[in-house]
Amino acid sequence: MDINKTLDLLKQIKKTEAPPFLLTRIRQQLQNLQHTEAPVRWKWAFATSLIIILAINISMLINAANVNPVAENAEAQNIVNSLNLSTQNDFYNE
Amino acid sequence: MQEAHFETIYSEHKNLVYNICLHYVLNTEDAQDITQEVFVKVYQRYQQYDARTASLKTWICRIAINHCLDFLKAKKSKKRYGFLSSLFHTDSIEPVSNAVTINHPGTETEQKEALKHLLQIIYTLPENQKTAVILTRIEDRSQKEVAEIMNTSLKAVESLLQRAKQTIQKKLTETGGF
Repeated sequence: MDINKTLDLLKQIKKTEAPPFLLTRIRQQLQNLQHTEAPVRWKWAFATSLIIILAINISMLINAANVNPVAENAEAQNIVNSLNLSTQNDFYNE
Repeated sequence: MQEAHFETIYSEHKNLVYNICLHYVLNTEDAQDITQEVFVKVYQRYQQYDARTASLKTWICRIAINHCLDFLKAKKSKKRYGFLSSLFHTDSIEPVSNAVTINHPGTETEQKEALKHLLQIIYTLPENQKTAVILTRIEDRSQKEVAEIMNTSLKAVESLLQRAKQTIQKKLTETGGF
Protein backbone atom coordinates (compact mmCIF):
# COMPACT_ATOMS: atom_id res chain seq x y z
CA MET A 1 0.00 0.00 0.00
CA ASP A 2 1.41 3.40 -1.01
CA ILE A 3 0.74 5.63 1.96
CA ASN A 4 1.35 8.83 -0.03
CA LYS A 5 -1.36 7.83 -2.51
CA THR A 6 -3.69 7.02 0.36
CA LEU A 7 -3.04 10.38 1.98
CA ASP A 8 -3.70 12.13 -1.36
CA LEU A 9 -7.31 11.16 -0.74
CA LEU A 10 -7.40 13.93 1.86
CA LYS A 11 -7.04 16.49 -0.94
CA GLN A 12 -10.60 15.62 -1.96
CA ILE A 13 -11.95 17.24 1.21
CA LYS A 14 -13.81 20.33 0.10
CA LYS A 15 -13.41 23.71 1.74
CA THR A 16 -16.46 24.63 3.77
CA GLU A 17 -17.87 28.13 4.20
CA ALA A 18 -18.26 29.37 7.76
CA PRO A 19 -21.96 29.86 8.57
CA PRO A 20 -23.12 33.52 8.26
CA PHE A 21 -24.66 33.60 11.76
CA LEU A 22 -21.25 33.13 13.39
CA LEU A 23 -20.39 36.83 13.26
CA THR A 24 -23.65 37.69 15.07
CA ARG A 25 -22.83 35.10 17.74
CA ILE A 26 -19.31 36.51 18.14
CA ARG A 27 -20.62 40.09 18.43
CA GLN A 28 -23.13 38.93 21.05
CA GLN A 29 -20.45 37.15 23.06
CA LEU A 30 -18.17 40.19 22.93
CA GLN A 31 -21.02 42.40 24.12
CA ASN A 32 -21.81 40.02 26.98
CA LEU A 33 -18.16 39.99 28.03
CA GLN A 34 -18.06 43.80 28.12
CA HIS A 35 -21.18 43.86 30.31
CA THR A 36 -19.99 41.22 32.74
CA GLU A 37 -16.54 42.72 33.25
CA ALA A 38 -16.24 44.54 36.59
CA PRO A 39 -15.51 48.31 36.43
CA VAL A 40 -11.91 49.39 37.15
CA ARG A 41 -12.99 51.22 40.35
CA TRP A 42 -14.41 47.93 41.72
CA LYS A 43 -11.22 46.09 40.89
CA TRP A 44 -9.13 48.70 42.74
CA ALA A 45 -11.48 48.63 45.74
CA PHE A 46 -11.27 44.85 45.90
CA ALA A 47 -7.47 44.86 45.59
CA THR A 48 -7.10 47.54 48.31
CA SER A 49 -9.37 45.73 50.78
CA LEU A 50 -7.50 42.48 50.12
CA ILE A 51 -4.19 44.18 50.85
CA ILE A 52 -5.57 45.70 54.10
CA ILE A 53 -6.87 42.31 55.29
CA LEU A 54 -3.54 40.67 54.50
CA ALA A 55 -1.61 43.44 56.32
CA ILE A 56 -3.80 43.04 59.43
CA ASN A 57 -3.27 39.27 59.37
CA ILE A 58 0.48 39.60 59.01
CA SER A 59 0.73 42.19 61.82
CA MET A 60 -1.36 39.91 64.11
CA LEU A 61 0.96 36.99 63.37
CA ILE A 62 4.06 39.10 64.08
CA ASN A 63 2.59 40.37 67.37
CA ALA A 64 1.66 36.86 68.42
CA ALA A 65 5.20 35.66 67.75
CA ASN A 66 6.68 38.50 69.84
CA VAL A 67 4.62 37.77 73.00
CA ASN A 68 6.67 36.20 75.81
CA PRO A 69 4.67 33.13 76.98
CA VAL A 70 6.37 33.04 80.46
CA ALA A 71 5.52 36.68 81.22
CA GLU A 72 1.98 36.19 80.00
CA ASN A 73 1.59 33.11 82.22
CA ALA A 74 2.88 34.96 85.29
CA GLU A 75 0.42 37.78 84.71
CA ALA A 76 -2.44 35.29 84.49
CA GLN A 77 -1.27 33.61 87.70
CA ASN A 78 -1.28 36.98 89.52
CA ILE A 79 -4.89 37.59 88.51
CA VAL A 80 -5.89 34.08 89.62
CA ASN A 81 -4.21 34.57 93.02
CA SER A 82 -5.69 37.99 93.63
CA LEU A 83 -9.21 36.79 92.89
CA ASN A 84 -8.76 33.50 94.81
CA LEU A 85 -9.80 31.48 91.83
CA SER A 86 -9.41 27.74 91.68
CA THR A 87 -6.73 26.50 89.32
CA GLN A 88 -8.15 22.98 89.26
CA ASN A 89 -10.83 21.57 87.09
CA ASP A 90 -12.34 19.37 89.82
CA PHE A 91 -15.91 20.17 90.75
CA TYR A 92 -16.00 18.09 93.94
CA ASN A 93 -13.50 17.97 96.74
CA GLU A 94 -13.68 14.35 97.70
CA MET B 1 -9.69 47.27 18.36
CA GLN B 2 -12.06 49.08 16.00
CA GLU B 3 -15.14 47.03 15.14
CA ALA B 4 -14.66 47.59 11.40
CA HIS B 5 -11.08 46.35 11.61
CA PHE B 6 -12.17 43.26 13.51
CA GLU B 7 -14.82 42.52 10.90
CA THR B 8 -12.21 42.76 8.13
CA ILE B 9 -9.98 40.31 10.01
CA TYR B 10 -12.99 38.05 10.57
CA SER B 11 -14.09 38.01 6.94
CA GLU B 12 -10.53 37.30 5.76
CA HIS B 13 -9.89 34.41 8.14
CA LYS B 14 -13.30 32.94 9.02
CA ASN B 15 -13.15 30.09 6.48
CA LEU B 16 -9.56 29.24 7.31
CA VAL B 17 -10.35 28.96 11.03
CA TYR B 18 -13.63 27.12 10.50
CA ASN B 19 -12.03 24.54 8.20
CA ILE B 20 -9.10 23.93 10.55
CA CYS B 21 -11.56 23.41 13.41
CA LEU B 22 -13.62 21.02 11.28
CA HIS B 23 -10.55 18.91 10.44
CA TYR B 24 -9.69 18.59 14.12
CA VAL B 25 -13.06 18.02 15.77
CA LEU B 26 -14.84 16.47 12.75
CA ASN B 27 -18.26 17.90 13.45
CA THR B 28 -19.92 21.18 12.52
CA GLU B 29 -21.42 22.15 15.89
CA ASP B 30 -18.15 21.93 17.80
CA ALA B 31 -16.29 23.60 14.93
CA GLN B 32 -18.72 26.55 15.05
CA ASP B 33 -18.32 26.90 18.82
CA ILE B 34 -14.52 26.78 18.61
CA THR B 35 -14.43 29.26 15.68
CA GLN B 36 -16.51 31.64 17.79
CA GLU B 37 -14.12 31.28 20.75
CA VAL B 38 -11.09 31.77 18.50
CA PHE B 39 -12.37 35.10 17.16
CA VAL B 40 -13.34 36.30 20.63
CA LYS B 41 -9.76 35.56 21.69
CA VAL B 42 -8.40 37.31 18.60
CA TYR B 43 -10.44 40.39 19.54
CA GLN B 44 -9.29 40.30 23.17
CA ARG B 45 -5.61 39.62 22.49
CA TYR B 46 -5.08 41.70 19.38
CA GLN B 47 -3.01 44.21 21.39
CA GLN B 48 -0.53 41.43 22.18
CA TYR B 49 -0.04 40.48 18.53
CA ASP B 50 3.45 41.33 17.29
CA ALA B 51 3.68 41.53 13.49
CA ARG B 52 7.48 41.12 13.68
CA THR B 53 7.26 37.57 15.07
CA ALA B 54 4.59 36.09 12.79
CA SER B 55 2.03 37.05 10.17
CA LEU B 56 -1.54 37.63 11.31
CA LYS B 57 -2.63 34.48 9.49
CA THR B 58 -0.02 32.37 11.31
CA TRP B 59 -1.00 33.92 14.65
CA ILE B 60 -4.69 33.20 14.10
CA CYS B 61 -3.87 29.65 12.92
CA ARG B 62 -1.93 29.03 16.14
CA ILE B 63 -4.84 30.25 18.27
CA ALA B 64 -7.25 28.02 16.34
CA ILE B 65 -5.02 24.93 16.61
CA ASN B 66 -4.45 25.45 20.34
CA HIS B 67 -8.19 25.85 20.92
CA CYS B 68 -8.93 22.67 18.98
CA LEU B 69 -6.29 20.68 20.88
CA ASP B 70 -7.59 21.98 24.21
CA PHE B 71 -11.12 21.05 23.20
CA LEU B 72 -10.04 17.51 22.25
CA LYS B 73 -8.11 17.11 25.53
CA ALA B 74 -11.16 18.20 27.51
CA LYS B 75 -13.37 15.81 25.55
CA LYS B 76 -10.93 12.95 26.13
CA SER B 77 -10.74 13.55 29.89
CA LYS B 78 -14.53 13.85 30.04
CA LYS B 79 -14.76 10.43 28.39
CA ARG B 80 -12.11 9.00 30.71
CA TYR B 81 -14.01 10.06 33.81
CA GLY B 82 -17.40 9.60 32.19
CA PHE B 83 -17.93 6.23 33.84
CA LEU B 84 -17.15 7.58 37.32
CA SER B 85 -19.33 10.66 36.89
CA SER B 86 -22.17 8.54 35.53
CA LEU B 87 -22.12 6.60 38.82
CA PHE B 88 -22.76 9.80 40.76
CA HIS B 89 -24.95 11.58 38.24
CA THR B 90 -27.51 8.99 37.30
CA ASP B 91 -29.51 11.55 35.29
CA SER B 92 -26.63 11.93 32.79
CA ILE B 93 -27.69 10.68 29.37
CA GLU B 94 -24.37 11.32 27.59
CA PRO B 95 -23.07 8.19 25.91
CA VAL B 96 -19.60 6.97 26.87
CA SER B 97 -17.96 5.90 23.66
CA ASN B 98 -14.52 6.01 22.06
CA ALA B 99 -15.77 6.21 18.50
CA VAL B 100 -15.84 9.65 16.90
CA THR B 101 -18.96 10.65 15.02
CA ILE B 102 -17.97 12.40 11.80
CA ASN B 103 -20.16 15.23 10.62
CA HIS B 104 -17.77 17.00 8.24
CA PRO B 105 -19.51 18.60 5.23
CA GLY B 106 -16.25 18.63 3.25
CA THR B 107 -16.16 14.82 3.10
CA GLU B 108 -19.26 14.55 0.92
CA THR B 109 -17.37 13.06 -2.05
CA GLU B 110 -17.43 9.82 -4.05
CA GLN B 111 -14.98 8.20 -1.65
CA LYS B 112 -16.83 9.40 1.42
CA GLU B 113 -16.45 6.21 3.47
CA ALA B 114 -12.73 5.86 2.75
CA LEU B 115 -12.20 9.50 3.69
CA LYS B 116 -14.11 9.11 6.93
CA HIS B 117 -12.07 6.02 7.82
CA LEU B 118 -8.85 7.91 7.14
CA LEU B 119 -10.01 10.93 9.18
CA GLN B 120 -10.90 8.64 12.05
CA ILE B 121 -7.34 7.29 12.06
CA ILE B 122 -5.87 10.82 11.87
CA TYR B 123 -8.11 11.78 14.82
CA THR B 124 -6.31 9.19 16.99
CA LEU B 125 -2.78 10.45 16.16
CA PRO B 126 -0.71 12.31 18.78
CA GLU B 127 -1.27 16.11 18.77
CA ASN B 128 1.84 17.18 16.84
CA GLN B 129 1.55 14.45 14.21
CA LYS B 130 -2.12 15.28 13.76
CA THR B 131 -1.33 18.98 13.27
CA ALA B 132 1.42 18.20 10.75
CA VAL B 133 -0.89 15.94 8.71
CA ILE B 134 -3.86 18.31 8.80
CA LEU B 135 -1.84 21.33 7.73
CA THR B 136 0.25 19.68 5.02
CA ARG B 137 -2.20 17.15 3.61
CA ILE B 138 -5.62 18.73 4.08
CA GLU B 139 -4.87 22.44 4.26
CA ASP B 140 -2.14 22.00 1.60
CA ARG B 141 0.42 24.19 3.36
CA SER B 142 4.14 23.89 2.67
CA GLN B 143 6.31 22.22 5.30
CA LYS B 144 8.02 25.59 5.86
CA GLU B 145 4.69 27.23 6.66
CA VAL B 146 3.75 24.35 8.95
CA ALA B 147 7.07 24.68 10.78
CA GLU B 148 6.35 28.38 11.30
CA ILE B 149 2.82 27.75 12.56
CA MET B 150 3.98 24.97 14.89
CA ASN B 151 6.95 27.07 15.99
CA THR B 152 9.36 24.26 15.21
CA SER B 153 12.05 23.32 12.66
CA LEU B 154 11.56 21.99 9.16
CA LYS B 155 13.32 18.76 10.15
CA ALA B 156 10.93 18.28 13.06
CA VAL B 157 7.94 18.63 10.72
CA GLU B 158 9.45 16.10 8.30
CA SER B 159 10.02 13.68 11.17
CA LEU B 160 6.46 14.19 12.48
CA LEU B 161 5.02 13.50 9.03
CA GLN B 162 7.15 10.39 8.66
CA ARG B 163 5.98 9.01 12.00
CA ALA B 164 2.38 9.92 11.23
CA LYS B 165 2.56 8.05 7.91
CA GLN B 166 3.94 4.96 9.64
CA THR B 167 1.16 5.02 12.24
CA ILE B 168 -1.55 5.57 9.64
CA GLN B 169 -0.21 2.74 7.49
CA LYS B 170 -0.07 0.41 10.50
CA LYS B 171 -3.63 1.25 11.53
CA LEU B 172 -4.91 0.87 7.98
CA THR B 173 -3.33 -2.59 7.77
CA GLU B 174 -4.83 -3.56 11.13
CA THR B 175 -8.29 -2.45 10.11
CA GLY B 176 -8.04 -4.03 6.66
CA GLY B 177 -7.56 -0.81 4.68
CA PHE B 178 -10.47 0.71 2.81
